[in-house]
Amino acid sequence: MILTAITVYVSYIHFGVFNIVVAMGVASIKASLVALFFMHLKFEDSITWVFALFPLSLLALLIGMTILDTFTRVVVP
Amino acid sequence: MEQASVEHSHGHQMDPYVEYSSSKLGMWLFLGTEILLFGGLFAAYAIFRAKYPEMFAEQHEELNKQMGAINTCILIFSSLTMAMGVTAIKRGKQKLTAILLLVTIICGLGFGAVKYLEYSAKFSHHIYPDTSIFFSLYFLMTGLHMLHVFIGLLILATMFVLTLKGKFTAEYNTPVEVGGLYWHLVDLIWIYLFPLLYLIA
Amino acid sequence: MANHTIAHNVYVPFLEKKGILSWLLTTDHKRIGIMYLVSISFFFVVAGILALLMRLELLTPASDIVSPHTYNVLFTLHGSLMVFFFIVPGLAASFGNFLIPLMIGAPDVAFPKLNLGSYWIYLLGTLIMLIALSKPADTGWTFYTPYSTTTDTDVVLLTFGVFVLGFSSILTGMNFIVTIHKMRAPGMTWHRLPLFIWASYATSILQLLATPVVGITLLLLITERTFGVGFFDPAKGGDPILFQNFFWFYSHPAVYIMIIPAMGVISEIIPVFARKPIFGYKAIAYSSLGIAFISFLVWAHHMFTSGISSLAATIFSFLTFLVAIPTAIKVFNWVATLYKGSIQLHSSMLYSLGFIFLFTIGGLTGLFLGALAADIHLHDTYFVVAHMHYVMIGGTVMGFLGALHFWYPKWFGKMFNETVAKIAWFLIFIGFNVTFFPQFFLGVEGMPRRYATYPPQFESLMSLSTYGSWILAIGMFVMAANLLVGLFRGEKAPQNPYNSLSLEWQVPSPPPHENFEEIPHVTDWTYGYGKKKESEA
Repeated sequence: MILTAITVYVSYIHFGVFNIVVAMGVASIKASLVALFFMHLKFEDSITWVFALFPLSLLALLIGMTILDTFTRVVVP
Repeated sequence: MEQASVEHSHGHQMDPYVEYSSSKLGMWLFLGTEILLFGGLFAAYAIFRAKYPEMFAEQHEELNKQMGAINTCILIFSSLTMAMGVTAIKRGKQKLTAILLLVTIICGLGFGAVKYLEYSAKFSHHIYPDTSIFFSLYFLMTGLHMLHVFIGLLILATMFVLTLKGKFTAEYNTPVEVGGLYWHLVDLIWIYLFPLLYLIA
Repeated sequence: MANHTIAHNVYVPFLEKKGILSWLLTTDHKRIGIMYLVSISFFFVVAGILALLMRLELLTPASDIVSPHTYNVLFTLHGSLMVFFFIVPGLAASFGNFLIPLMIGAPDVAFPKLNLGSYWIYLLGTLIMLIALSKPADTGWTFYTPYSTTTDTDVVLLTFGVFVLGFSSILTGMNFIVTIHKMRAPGMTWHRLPLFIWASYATSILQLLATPVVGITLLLLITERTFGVGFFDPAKGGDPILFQNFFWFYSHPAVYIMIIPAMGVISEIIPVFARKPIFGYKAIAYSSLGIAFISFLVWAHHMFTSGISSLAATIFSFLTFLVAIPTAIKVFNWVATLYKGSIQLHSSMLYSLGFIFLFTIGGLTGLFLGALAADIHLHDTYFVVAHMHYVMIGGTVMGFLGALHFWYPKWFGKMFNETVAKIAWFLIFIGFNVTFFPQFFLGVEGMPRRYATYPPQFESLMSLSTYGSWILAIGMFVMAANLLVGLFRGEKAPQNPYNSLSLEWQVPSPPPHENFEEIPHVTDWTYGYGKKKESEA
């Protein structure tokens, strides 16, 4: 219920200037709630937590390093 | 010294609790792989958005935010009914579970219908996957997501039929829970897709 | 529940039931392991023949046996078949399937039907790849853009076949992780697990988490070819290096998928034939996890000359050197195990010793390539070809053959001719070194890889390499013939011919379908060799 309300609220904000960080933050809160409660992650054992979270860190690594590479290249004119 | 001494055991059927927790762990592992599959697309998004912020700002206006928001609500609601369905079967309430599964499926179909309308609108405006990098990302990300919605619907439909046949009880309902996890993943991915594609300024 | 009137289970070896359907529909992990073994061996032979053809062409500087385009097709197929159809499924799918439940004291894997599904998916990927042979790709197994997006050959089907194969890998990895977590016999704590299990666990994590990224990468390549999407096309605003970043994010961990199981095999064989406990059990166990973890951090060392930023290159070079540490830990521990051991030179031990020597060469030459300044000169030369074959043949294939010779009695219930096996090993060892050692020098002197023709000054080393390939081929043939003959004419194998202590040797050879009549209760680790026995087992 709460999540649906949050979503509706968020969709009204989009008419203004919306920073991507805030958007991602809201999405992450929603996602965490879905994972913790709908998916019962809150009640799972630690090994499940490791395998739920480790892929996220790998993703961060992929995105982070690829961006690092792409934007620190020296473009020869 | 031998590594083991033989002792009487429980035969070769898997202990039901071991089977239950194995299935859950297995599905969480699989969900991890799905995150990385979509992750490649999210990485591509991040890179191209950083490279071409104006293209993204300009072209995302073409997307219908209302439809995207409706779809988000539909999906989150369906996640709720799915979770309620799992709780219901754990209490042995087969009929309630079936109803909740059906509602979830209808929501999924509704999501698909809205997406169909969105895509047709794009095509009628001559916007295709190769129109620009932004739209390539839009079609690929939502397309792959839609494919997972279809797979999810197939899983849910199977669960629905089996529930009607009385296959699940308060003691044995692992497939429903595990299928539910998959459906929640579909929701999770959309939770990130929606703001990234529709809402960024 | 255990039955009180214990009618003794009639021992039915798992190989007993005949008929092709009993194989294709089996959920017995041992049979699935054999099916993988047969399939991957088949592709090993096919891809090996392609390599022999390539080396035949390279006997002379001119392109006289095949055209340059055909040569490109040859190395593309050789690479793709070897990497995706032989070595990545490789030890993990064949020996992993066979050994994991036995070694942990379980009746089967966690999801036997999914296990069979994984194999069918592998077959499906094979079928798709075969269709792609109508217009075989010439891009190299790495499918770099922009050539792979523009070449007129059938890249789509080949990459789609690989994509399908990826699912097989992912599901197997998932199955093994859950099996190792949930199905260990009572008393089999993590620190009593055989090191092959630790290795399989680390490999499965890589299979599970790295493969999806190559999945999406190949999918993007396919959409670029079919829908004109432009992620990798500079004309449309894309970046060809992006493909390489995504591709190697998987493919670097993939090479560790290739080697870690082989390392696990070595850790099993050496204690048995040195009659000594493995030295540094925990170090070896955790180094497998360490290698797996670090392997995710180093992918761009394949891209030093592609145009990535200097900052990125420096970071990746530094991280690359780190992976040498857990690897060296293993090598030192194996050697320490051998020290003052009572060495028996069984053929599988010869393969293991060969592994240590050859993999060390391969690994050390990797350090040259990891150093930025050296790599500028060595990238895309025969130095790289030599390095990779030292680790893949000198490493993984040695481990694979060692495993084959070690567990052969257990798996097939027969014994092969040990003398012939030793001769075959010798031929393989010599042939391999004659083929690939000269290639280090060729690389340093500037001979590039993937070229059908070359300047005449390279002819002496190139032809030496080709002669070596013939010796290698003969050795492989003798080895295979020996093992095949043993299947039909070998003596019946005893339960535990090498007096090994691990669980798989405590069941008959070959094992019965359900593995253990009764699930064992584990009281000690696997490596208690050299202790006085209180009573004969």
